[in-house]
Amino acid sequence: MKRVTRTLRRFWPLYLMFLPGVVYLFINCYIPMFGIQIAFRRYNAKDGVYGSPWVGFENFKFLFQTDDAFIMVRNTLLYNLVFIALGTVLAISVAIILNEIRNQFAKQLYQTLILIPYLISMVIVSYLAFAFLSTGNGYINNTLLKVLGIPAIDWYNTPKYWPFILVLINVWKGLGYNMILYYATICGIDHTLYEAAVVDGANRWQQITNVTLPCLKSTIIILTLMSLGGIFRSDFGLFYQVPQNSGPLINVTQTIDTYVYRGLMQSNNIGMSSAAGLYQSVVGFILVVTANLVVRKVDAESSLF
Amino acid sequence: MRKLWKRSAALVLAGLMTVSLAACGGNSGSGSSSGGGSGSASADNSGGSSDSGEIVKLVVWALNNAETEDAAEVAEAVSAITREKIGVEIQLVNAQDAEQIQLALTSGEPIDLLNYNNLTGQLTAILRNNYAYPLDGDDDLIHNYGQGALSVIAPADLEACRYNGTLYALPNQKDTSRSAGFAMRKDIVDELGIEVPEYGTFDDMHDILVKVHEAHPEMYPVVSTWAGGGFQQPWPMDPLGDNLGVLPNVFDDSTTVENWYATDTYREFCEMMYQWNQEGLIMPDITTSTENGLFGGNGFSMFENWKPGKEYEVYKSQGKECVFMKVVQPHKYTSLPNGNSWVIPYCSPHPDKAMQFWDLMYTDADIANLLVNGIEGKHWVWADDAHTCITTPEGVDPNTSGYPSVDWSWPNQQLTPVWEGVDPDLWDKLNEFNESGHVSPAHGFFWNSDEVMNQVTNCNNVVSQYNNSLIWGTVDPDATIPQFLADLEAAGINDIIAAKQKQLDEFLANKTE
Repeated sequence: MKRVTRTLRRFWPLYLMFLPGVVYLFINCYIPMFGIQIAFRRYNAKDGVYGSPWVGFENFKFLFQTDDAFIMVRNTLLYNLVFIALGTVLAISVAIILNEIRNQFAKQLYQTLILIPYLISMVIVSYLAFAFLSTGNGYINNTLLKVLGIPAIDWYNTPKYWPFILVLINVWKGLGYNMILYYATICGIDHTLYEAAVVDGANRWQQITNVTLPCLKSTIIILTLMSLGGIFRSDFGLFYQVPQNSGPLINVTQTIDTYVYRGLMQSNNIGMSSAAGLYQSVVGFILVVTANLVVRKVDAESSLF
Repeated sequence: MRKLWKRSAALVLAGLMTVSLAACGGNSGSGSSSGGGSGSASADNSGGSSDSGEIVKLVVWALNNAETEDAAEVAEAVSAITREKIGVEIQLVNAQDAEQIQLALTSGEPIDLLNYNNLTGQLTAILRNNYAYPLDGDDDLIHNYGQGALSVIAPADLEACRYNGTLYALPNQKDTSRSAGFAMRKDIVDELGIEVPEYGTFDDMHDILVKVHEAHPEMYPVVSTWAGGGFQQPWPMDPLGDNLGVLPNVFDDSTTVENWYATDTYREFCEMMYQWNQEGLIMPDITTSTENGLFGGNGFSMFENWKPGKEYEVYKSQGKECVFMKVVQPHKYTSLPNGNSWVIPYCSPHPDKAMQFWDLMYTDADIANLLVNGIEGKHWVWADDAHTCITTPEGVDPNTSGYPSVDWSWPNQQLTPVWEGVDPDLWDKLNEFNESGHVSPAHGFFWNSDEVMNQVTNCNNVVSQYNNSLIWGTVDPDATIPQFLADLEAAGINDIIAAKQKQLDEFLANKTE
C-alpha cells in the first residue's frame, strides 16, 4: 500500500497522461462488452437485450456447418499470414533503403508517394482495380495484353489470378504505413553504433545485418504480435468490393467477414452477426497470448508481457 | 515487481485491443442500449393521451432525394394543415440507406413513421426483429384512427401486411401486381422499324436483339437494370420471401414448394442467356459493372417490371423514351403489396398520432400532393387551365428539382394530379392492373425462417456465389448448375423447403377454415 502511494506521488504526471486513454477504453470498449450476450440470444427489438430468449451456441452453428466454413477460415488465415509476412519484409526493406537515401527532398518525396495509397479508401481502390481489369474498357486487356499479343483475360470470372491480385493490392496499400513505423525506429538508432561498426571495418551490408536489424527486432515482434490478433479478421473492402462481389471468385475471396455479410444481409440477424464477431475476437485473443508465450520462451526481453 | 506490472498492463491492453474490435465490428449498434429504447417507447405509448391540445412533432423518415431546405419547406406546408386537423407537426428526414435504417431501428431512435423501401429484407426483416408497432394490437390504432385508410386500401393487399394474424404495415396505393419483360429504346426501335408486340416470348426478343446488334454493333443489346447485374425476374414465380423454396409458377396454382434453381424454367433461362452471351448480345462484365443507368447510356434493352405509367417513369430516371415487350402476365404475391411501404417503428413516442397522420396521407389530397410533388409554383405548376395535369415550373429541369417526385413511395399517389405526358386515366388503369393480377395461392403467406436460420444463411451464400453469373450467362450452365445444386443441398436447402412447405400448408389450412 505504501509502495502504491509512493509510486503514485512520484509518477503522478504519467498517470494523469494515462487517464484519458483509460477513460476512452472504458467507454468505448468495456461498456459495449455487455453486448457480447447478444451472441447467445435470439435478439428482437421489442424484448430488448435482456428480454430476448437465450439460445446458447445456436447462433454460432452457421459458421461451422458447411464446407464453406473450411474455405472461409482457410482464406482468412492464409491471406493474413501472407499479408503479415510479405508486408513486414517489404516494409523493413523499404525503410532501410529510404534511410540510405541522403538527399532530403528525394527522401520526403518517396516517403509521401509510398504513403498515399494508405490514405485512399478501399472503395476507390476497387474502382482503380476495375479500371485495370474490366473486360470492356480495362487498361490491361485493351492496352497491355493487346501490345503483347496475348488474348484478353476475363479477370472477374477467373479465380486463379485473385490471390495474387489481392496480395498485391494489400501490400501496395499498406506498405507506406508499416514502413513509417520501421523507419521511425531506424531513425532512433544510436549513431555511435554505426560509427563503431565503420571503425571495425563493416561495409554497408554488414552494418544493416549487424546493427539495423538487431535494433529493429523488438519493433518487428511487437507489430507482428499485434497483427496476429487480427488474423481472423479481414478488410471487408478488399475482399468484397475489390472483386466486385463476383460470384465465380468466391472460393478465393470468401473470408469470415464477407461470409457473414452475404449470409445475413437479407435476414438482418443481429445475434448471428455478434456470434461471428465474438468468434473472431476470441480466436484473435488466443493467438496473441499463445504467440507471446512462444516469444517469451525464446527471448523474454522482446515479449509483450 | 516493475516487470510484473509492465507485463500485466500489457496483457490487459492486448486483451482490450482484440476484444474492442469485437465490440466495434461485430455487433454494430447492438451495444447502444436498445433495451432502453424499447422500454421508454412502451412507457410513452401506454399514455396515449396526447390529445390534450399540445402540438406533437412527428419524425417521418421518407424515401426521397429532396434537398434539405426543400424538404423542410414541404414539411412546414404539411404541418400548417395537420396542426389544425390533428395537432401534429412533421419533420421530414431524407433518403436513408439500408444501413442507416437498420442502425436507427436497432438503437431505438424515435421515428414515428418509416418508409422501409431501402431496407434489405424489407418487411420480413422488420418483423423478424420486432421493429414494427402492431396496428391492431391492444390500442387498435387502425380501427380507432385509420378508417380513412381502410376505406381506400384493397382488402387483398391489406392481407399481405398481416403476420401471424397481426397487422403491421399498410400497403401504399401503388402497383401491387407485377408484370415484367423488356424495356427497349424507342428511338432505336423506330429507326429499325421493329414491330414490338405487347406480349412476346424470349424468342421474339432474341430476334429483335440480333437485329439491333447487326445495325448497331457499338451498342450493348442487353444491359443490367442497376449496378452489379441488377435484374427484374421475367418469370411468374412467387419467391415466398427469400427465393429459397418457391412456387415456380403462380398461374398453375400449385402449392408445392420447390427448389427454384432445380426447375426446368431456371435451367432453360440460364442456357438461353449463355447462348445470348456467346452471341455478344449481353454487355461484357455485366455482373461486376458498377454503373447504374446503363439503359440511358449505351444500352438497348433491360429486364424491367411493367405497370401502367412505367414508360414515363423509365424516361424520368434514364432520360430515354422506351417501349415495353412483356413476357409475363400480371400476377401478385405477398411481397408485392407489402414491399416499399410504411410502418410505425416500435420506438415511436406517438404511435396514435402517427396513425392519424398516416390516415391523412391516404385521404387528404392536399397533403398527398405536397408530399408527392412538393410545393406549387416552386416544384410544380399546373400544365393547363383545366388543372388536369402538372409540369415543372419554367426553368426547372425535372432532374434538378429540389424535390423530385417519388410518387409510389408515399401512401396514396392516386390523390395527386398526373404529370404532363402521362395518361390522364393513369390511376384508373393502375387499379385495373392491380385487380387483373393473378393471385398466387400463397398470397398473404409469411415465411418465418427462424427454425432454419443456419441453413438460410448458408444457402444465401451459395446463391450469391452462383446465381448472378448463371442468369447473366457468363458461365456454362451445363457444368455449373449441377455443382450449384449440390452445394445448395449441402447447405441445407431441403430442410428449408420442408419447413416452408409445412408452414405454407398450415397457412392454407387456416385460410380455408
